[in-house]
Amino acid sequence: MADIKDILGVPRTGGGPVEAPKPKEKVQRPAGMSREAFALLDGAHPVVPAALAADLQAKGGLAGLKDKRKTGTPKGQVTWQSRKFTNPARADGLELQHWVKCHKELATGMVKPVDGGEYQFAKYNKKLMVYNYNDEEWNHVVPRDPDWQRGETDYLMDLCQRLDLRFLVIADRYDFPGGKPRSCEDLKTRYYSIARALHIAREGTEATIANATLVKHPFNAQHERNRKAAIALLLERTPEQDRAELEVLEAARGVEAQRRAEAAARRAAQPPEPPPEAPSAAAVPAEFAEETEAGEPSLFDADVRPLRPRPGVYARGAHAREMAAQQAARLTGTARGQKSLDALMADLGVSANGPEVPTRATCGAWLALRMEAIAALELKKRLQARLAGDTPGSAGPEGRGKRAHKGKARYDEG
Amino acid sequence: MSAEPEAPQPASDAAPDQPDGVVREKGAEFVLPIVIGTCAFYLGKKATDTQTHRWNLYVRGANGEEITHVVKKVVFFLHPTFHNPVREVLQHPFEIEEHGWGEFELSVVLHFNDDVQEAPLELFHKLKLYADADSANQGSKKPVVNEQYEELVFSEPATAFLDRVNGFQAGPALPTPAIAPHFVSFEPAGDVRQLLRARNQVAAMAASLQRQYDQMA
Repeated sequence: MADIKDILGVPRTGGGPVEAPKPKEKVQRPAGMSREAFALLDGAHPVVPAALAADLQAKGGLAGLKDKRKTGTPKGQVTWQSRKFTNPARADGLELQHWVKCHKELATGMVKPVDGGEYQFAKYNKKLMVYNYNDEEWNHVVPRDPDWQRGETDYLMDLCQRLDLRFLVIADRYDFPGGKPRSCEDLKTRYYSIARALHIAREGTEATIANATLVKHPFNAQHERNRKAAIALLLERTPEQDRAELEVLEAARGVEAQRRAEAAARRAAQPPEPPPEAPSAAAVPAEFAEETEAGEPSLFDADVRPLRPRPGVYARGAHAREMAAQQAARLTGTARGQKSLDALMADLGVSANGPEVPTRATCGAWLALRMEAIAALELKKRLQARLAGDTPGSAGPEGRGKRAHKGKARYDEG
Repeated sequence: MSAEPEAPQPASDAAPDQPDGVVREKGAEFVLPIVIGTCAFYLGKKATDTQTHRWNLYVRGANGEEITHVVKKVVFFLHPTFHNPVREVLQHPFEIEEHGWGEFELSVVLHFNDDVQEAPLELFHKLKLYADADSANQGSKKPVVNEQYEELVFSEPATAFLDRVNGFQAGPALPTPAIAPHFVSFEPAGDVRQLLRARNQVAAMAASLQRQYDQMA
């Protein structure tokens, strides 16, 4: 007995129940190891990192891991090479060198990707068309200005060419030896008058190119000065001035709203408000009879007026559906409009396929209902547009109410 | 849904001679109310994988009356997987019975008598075998019925045809089909009421919108 107790691990003195062995921490099976091998491990034989290294060795060691990176894309392996290049946009044939990404095909040599090695930025070298004259044109075409001698004018044209008509820079660098100080407007005036004369002379009469901006709007120095002064003024506004302006705008809006309210009150006061009428437009009756009068056709068109179609046989329900499709097509085109119409019909509990029993009365009523629903939706859209136009970004109680639900609340209000 | 012979236009009453040379009664109309329906019985214990239902497809007069004075024959186009999917029925009752397991859309072409002088009219209908989720009949007794009421409007019918049908006396009562007890009788009054209510609601909505609009302006 005592031996058994010993074997079982029960304390001799007897006592509480056997202590549960300490819960073993679960050891995860390492990825490289097989299940059977892992099962052999226990406390005395833990996992040995060296065992995992066996996997690496099988794949050729650390070097083998690195190889993966180099197999590369279908185009081949990516290498970078330092290559010499010239810029086609340059005139002087300067040769520099830079790093280029290449693909190395496994069998053959290398091909440059990215447009085959052309210098990518050459295409951005846009040149401006700067007018210039030759001697003959100077004699006959270019307007003579006593203020501008040949030499100075040539200097100006050369600067314009070199600096791409950036007049602010030109004005800054303008330094004709022995010449008087010139403002930016002076330079522009001189250049554009020359350019205009040259353009006209080269193209023909003034009429043929009357639409070119150079001809239609000759340079106006005073306008340019005004413009620059205005911009400067705007730039130098103080915060106080900004605030003052905003206040004025607010006051204006308030006055506008007040004026509108007065007008509405006046209009509301004059004719007593007409009570809301049942839908009895002159054309569409509130009820349709099952029987028609003699000679009146019983089908309806998309405007719910009696329609006499071409002689033939028609299925009333199918015909009503076609008319409904025509009505929907008239609805301002958008799919959203049609969806809102369908939603409204569903809210009212009316089938979208027509009445269950397509008789003259029900088809007429159904088409009339659709027509009136479309009109109501159009009105709603106009009203929302009006509200949005009035106070952009505000959600007044009306706006929210309408957007919140298609209109069930409105039915209750009556 | 249906393919009509031509798109209808509001033609004047003084129509010129018809290009098809038919003598028509101007300004007249003849209306024939019909019902296209399917009636499907679940086979219950006898159902197999390929045949779970027995169903009938028919065209009948809306009040059970006969339509042979107008309709010469009815051609039912079943799903192409059926043997002989085109079924012609030339006498009352215009119905066919079949077995199957699947629901599909059918096409039914009505051919009219010769003096009607109209091209055949095609209508579409869905075969329903399974009831909607809420109803609880899976017993083989109660069938699933899907009926569609339609009114055939003959606009300016041929004079000869119109004279004949106006003087038409119904013949001796024809035997009622076995599925007659399942026929639905269609009453437009419910629709009329519902549509009127809906129109009033829309009118109220529109009036309220109009008031708001005027207040703003």
